[in-house]
Amino acid sequence: MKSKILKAQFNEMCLGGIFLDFHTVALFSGESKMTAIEVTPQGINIQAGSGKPIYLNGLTITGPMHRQSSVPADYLPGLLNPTPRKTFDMPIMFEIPDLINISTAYGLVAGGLL
Amino acid sequence: MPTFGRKSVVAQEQVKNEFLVQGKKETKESYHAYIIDICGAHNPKSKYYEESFHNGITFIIAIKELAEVRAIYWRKGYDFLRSVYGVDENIIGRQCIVHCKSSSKRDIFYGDLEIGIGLDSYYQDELSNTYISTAGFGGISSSATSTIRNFMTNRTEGPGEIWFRFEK
Repeated sequence: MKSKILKAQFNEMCLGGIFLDFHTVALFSGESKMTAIEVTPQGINIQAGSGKPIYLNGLTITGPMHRQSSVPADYLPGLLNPTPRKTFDMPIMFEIPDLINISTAYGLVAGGLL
Repeated sequence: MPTFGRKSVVAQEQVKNEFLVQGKKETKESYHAYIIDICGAHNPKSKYYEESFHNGITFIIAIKELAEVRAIYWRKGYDFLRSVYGVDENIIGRQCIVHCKSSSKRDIFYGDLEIGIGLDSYYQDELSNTYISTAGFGGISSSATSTIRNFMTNRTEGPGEIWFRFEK
């Protein structure tokens, strides 16, 4: 185990730190030693520890090609709520008209030259 | 070494430079001290010291052997100070050693400051005080050695380096 640890103070009162290993980098804190965010070659592990929350502080939570439903829709009961939990969200769709325009213009110029 | 009586200008300059460098590096006294305040543009005046310091970073230190409060200039770079030692509140209270030519105010001000005295500290087992990873449940392999070590308690470890608290 060849790693580095960065902490504000190296004593038992200082519970938070940064762990730098060959392949793993982690932010950790807490008395129970269970709160951490790990970045590894296999993926990212976000663990809050027992009884601790993970709080995503934002109304817009997105991932690849999807967006999670907003807070009012989440609170509607199941049968009355026809909205899906996730919706398509592809920002590249807004770029497609520009790409078509550029391709067309390039084609016209190339055709004229040839 | 005297610089007069030498005919070569190059040799004279060389001897003069060596003389100046040795004179600057010469340290005859070493004192143990506590850092009690840090002065600079952000905090020019300390309540522990009569002078004020507007430029650079100056440490106000209480020297144990002399039982006096003195000022010493931090010459190792601001980024080094903040990256390694942190903000003022994280530095105040730390022990240090001052290497200087004499106990005069001027020599201490331009002396060398060495933060941290580890001889009277009982350090922690650092690898046993990081975190326990449960990433294995999700198929992510992480630092297993660290996780196992964190389940165990090292009975011989100490509380780490704890420094004094001075009211700012």
